[in-house]
Amino acid sequence: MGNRVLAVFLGLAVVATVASLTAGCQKRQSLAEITVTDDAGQRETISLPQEGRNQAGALAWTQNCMRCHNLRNPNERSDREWDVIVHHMRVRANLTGEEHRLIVRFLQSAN
Amino acid sequence: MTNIYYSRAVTLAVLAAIAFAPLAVAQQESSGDEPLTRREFSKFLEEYRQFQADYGKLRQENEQLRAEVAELKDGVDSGSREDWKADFEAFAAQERESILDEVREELRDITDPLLPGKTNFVLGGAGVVTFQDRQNVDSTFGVGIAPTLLWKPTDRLLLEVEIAFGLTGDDTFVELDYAQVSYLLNDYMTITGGKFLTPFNTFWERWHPSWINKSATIPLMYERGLVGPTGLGVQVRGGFPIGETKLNYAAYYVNGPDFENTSFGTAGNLGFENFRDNNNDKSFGGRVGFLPIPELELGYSFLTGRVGDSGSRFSGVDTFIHGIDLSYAREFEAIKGRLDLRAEAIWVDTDRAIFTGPFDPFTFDNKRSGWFVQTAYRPTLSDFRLGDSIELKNTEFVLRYEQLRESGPGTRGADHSRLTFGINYWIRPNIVWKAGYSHDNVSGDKDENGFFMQFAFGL
Ligand code: HEC
Repeated sequence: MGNRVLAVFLGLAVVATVASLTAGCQKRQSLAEITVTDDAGQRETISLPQEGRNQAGALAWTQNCMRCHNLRNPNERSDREWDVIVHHMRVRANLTGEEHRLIVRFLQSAN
Repeated sequence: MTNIYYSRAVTLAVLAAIAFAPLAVAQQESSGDEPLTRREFSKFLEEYRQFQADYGKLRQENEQLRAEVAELKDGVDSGSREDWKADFEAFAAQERESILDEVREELRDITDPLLPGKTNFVLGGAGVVTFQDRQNVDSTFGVGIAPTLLWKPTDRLLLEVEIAFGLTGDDTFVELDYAQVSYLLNDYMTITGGKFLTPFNTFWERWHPSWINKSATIPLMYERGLVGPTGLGVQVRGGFPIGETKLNYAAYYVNGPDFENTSFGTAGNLGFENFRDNNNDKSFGGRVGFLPIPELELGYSFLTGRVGDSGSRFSGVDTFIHGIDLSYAREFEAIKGRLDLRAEAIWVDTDRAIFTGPFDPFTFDNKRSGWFVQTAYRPTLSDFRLGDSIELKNTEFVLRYEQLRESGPGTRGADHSRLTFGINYWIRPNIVWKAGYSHDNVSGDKDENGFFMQFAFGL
């Protein structure tokens, strides 16, 4: 069973990478806006900063914070709560200190 | 002639008198042409003197008033005004200070718990209600609520506790899911101690909470305990970039699993609730994850150690477990939605042992393995909606295929495969309704095909 499973995994990895890279050519990785659900269950579109000090934070947020679960709305939590939660997620997701700081700053500016 | 002159003169005089008569009358009316009498003059003089005296007096008074006004003005500019101002300012400052004190006190109540170095709490966790109807098993409801307390006393320290409340069989259970303290050593390394979710593959650590797990059921190989949810010990972990790619790691030293040897049904299995270690040897494990692109992660994990009870016949029994995992998530314009792919495999290799008890002694090649592939698709870019409230982009379709190969005498050695199909409706990013059906295929044993409904939320 071992070899067959390994083959399935490698196949999936190759297909996924190729799919991402070819799709990546059509659509830029850094998004301009993103849709999240707000507290009342309404959809809300957040424009992501395309320049300035929070641009890198917005990118780190979209790249890391929907890897395991749905992207949570910045409005869900206060500045102080995000400080604790992103620390929690840094440990859980093995994020670097830099990613941690960028994402906290972005969420605190966007909530 | 003289008479003529005289009469002419009289005529002229009369004419002149007629001509100037109005003038003369006017003069007489204004002041009078007559010379002043002495009496009149002395009266006037008296009045004049009186006036002069009055005027002098008034002037004096005026002078005095001016001086007073000037003095007042001076006073307002300098001395007395200064005093008044100082008094007012002192009073205002006092008032302000007492108001500020009150405000400060109230603010402190709010901000103190939030300052770094002070208590800093967040409540997280999850709740779930499930209904399941499996073939050959009575259908049942289930409930579980697991609050998580996060406490960040300093910028580097994080304490996490999760307590699960639920029901099993006839009993209520309260369980410490995890309790860990972690300390950020630097940007790339964190040390952790306590009872933590095992960083073996990704399921337990990253997506077992029911608001994250896209399926109402957990993968077969975890249901059967090939690897348990937590370990008790210490851990170092972190991540760092390598150019455009990223690497993350976790290495841990824990009490490790114990070895079940008393019952026929479970002999040879590993137990992961080994809180008072059954031997002096600790287990060692780790995981390395590699992200060639941000949306793809490939991981390799292992866990090895002595599992037999010390001083028993099984004291030499070791195990070696390893696994691989893959996760991929990305939104594609071409399919108008988001694709989420997760796959994992585990191989468990435990030393052979001879089991005796109220059953015939037996032994077997103690190897178990399992794997699954799960894909989920959610049409996040679709605008289709049904009525007012149901939107296609909140709907998610999940498909999971899995296989499990166990070893042991009789039906315990059966191969098990399962195909699960599910539909989720996401009310919020953290609130979901799930419905699913799983189709089993167990060689030589009863199938457990099942239907599931689940409502889950995360804080
Ligand atoms: C490695 C997978 C993973 C990544 C990446 C991840 N999360 Fe989480 N997240 C989890 C898990 C697992 C939980 C549930 C934690 C628990 O209850 O033990 C969670 C919980 C949460 C919660 C609930 C509160 C809490 O802390 O438990 C929020 C909010 C959250 N994540 C936001 C984020 C944000 C923001 C990011 C990006 C920095 C992020 N997550 C990245 C796995 C992940």
